[in-house]
Amino acid sequence: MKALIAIAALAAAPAQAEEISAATIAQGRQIYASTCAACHGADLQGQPDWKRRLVTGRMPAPPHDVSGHTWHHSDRDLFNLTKFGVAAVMGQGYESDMPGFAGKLSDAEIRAVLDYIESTWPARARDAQARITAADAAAQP
Amino acid sequence: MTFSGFPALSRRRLLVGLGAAALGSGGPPGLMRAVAGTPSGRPAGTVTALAFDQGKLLAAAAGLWISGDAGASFAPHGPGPGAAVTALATHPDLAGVIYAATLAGLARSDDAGLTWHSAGPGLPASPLDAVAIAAHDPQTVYVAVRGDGLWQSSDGARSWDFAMDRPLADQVEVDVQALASVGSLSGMGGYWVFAGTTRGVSKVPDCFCRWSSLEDTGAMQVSGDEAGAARIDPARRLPHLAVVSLALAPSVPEVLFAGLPSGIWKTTDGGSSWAAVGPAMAAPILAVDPLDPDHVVAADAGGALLSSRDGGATWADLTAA
Ligand code: HEC
Repeated sequence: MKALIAIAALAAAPAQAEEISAATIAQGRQIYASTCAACHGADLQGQPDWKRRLVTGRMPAPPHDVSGHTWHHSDRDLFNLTKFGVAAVMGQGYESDMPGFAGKLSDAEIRAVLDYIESTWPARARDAQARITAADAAAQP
Repeated sequence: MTFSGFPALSRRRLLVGLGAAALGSGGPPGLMRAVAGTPSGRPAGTVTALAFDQGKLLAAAAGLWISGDAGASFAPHGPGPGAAVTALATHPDLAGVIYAATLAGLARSDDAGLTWHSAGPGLPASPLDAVAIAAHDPQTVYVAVRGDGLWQSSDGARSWDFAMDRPLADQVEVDVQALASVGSLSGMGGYWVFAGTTRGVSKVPDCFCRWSSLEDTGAMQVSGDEAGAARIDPARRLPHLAVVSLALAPSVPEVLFAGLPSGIWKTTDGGSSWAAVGPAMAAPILAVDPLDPDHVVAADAGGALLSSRDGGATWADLTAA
């Protein structure tokens, strides 16, 4: 049954993604440029050599375009990673240079910037990410 | 980027070293002598890797060895890929295809191990310590490059891309000595890759976003993992010691076996909790038969060769003639 719901949600998800308004995307683009681009790159390209650790042992900022792994995370995970930071989400003493933006960005602003990031992906990645989001939602208690 | 790290001389290095010596010193004539010297039909030299292919058991030692009777007896199976083998990988959907991680790179055989060709174009010219075939996509192959990290091929080892730096354990970057593709959902649109390191096991989703602790339940939660990890009895955690081997049957991804300095450890919940199984062995090399997930074989540098038919509950000594 759960699988059926997931499939239904999955079919609906890409359509929903299209409904995000141009105004939200524009707002997200602006927040991205002022708040995220310094680390993740103006063109979402990430830090150079981002798959290799920095001398500090921490990971560089990955791209948010399709060459990175952002599109492998559900909307819920992306929201939590952005709001609370990577270290808080990972726990277990994981150290990260990705700060949490709680208190700096409102929940709506975080959603807008993520909507902007997702809007730049090709359909293949957007559909895959919509499926991950649907599966994640179905797995929540 | 090589990040600090104690030079961990592991048991595996020792094994590999011995294997290399056995191969290097002998050459073909030495190999023949070694073959003649084991009338019981056991692999000559130290077994450094094991794998099942279509119900047959392969062992890399001095040359390659094959057993059609689950390890009771072995016959020579050619010289192998030509350099000391650190790991073998097979997949139930790719009969006869074998990858060998060696001290001189990656080799692939398409005829069940008789002939080999180089399969690592684009990989760094460094020793490989581990190789695994993705459980759900046999065209995807992972290797661990010593001192470097994980590389991935999506086209059956025709081309390679750097995937991920080595994991951190206790704040130190550690080498990966064993790899396993674990076909349980990562929650990130794919599956898990488990890595046996010089200090325990780390795991990373196959999108390679970041390494995480084994005690994690998998789903990313805001600080929820502390509670999750705390639920696991500390006595059931895998020790932070060298893991030289990881083995599982792709059809049962929750059940994994790990080779530690003290012997064989087993998890039945995808790595959250572990228990030692079987007699003491020194850093055993392991293989699970994909056609029979309860069939496990273990070999160590001391010449021990054991087999279990009940998922590790009881073990038989295959060297007892
Ligand atoms: C100070 C630098 C910095 C800034 C500013 C920053 N990030 Fe990050 N971000 C990082 C780093 C570094 C990582 C990788 C962390 C890790 O893996 O440990 C990361 C990772 C992420 C991830 C996880 C990606 C994945 O696939 O795992 C998301 C999502 C993210 N950032 C979103 C944002 C957003 C949205 C903004 C702007 C609101 C932002 N970041 C601003 C440094 C930064």
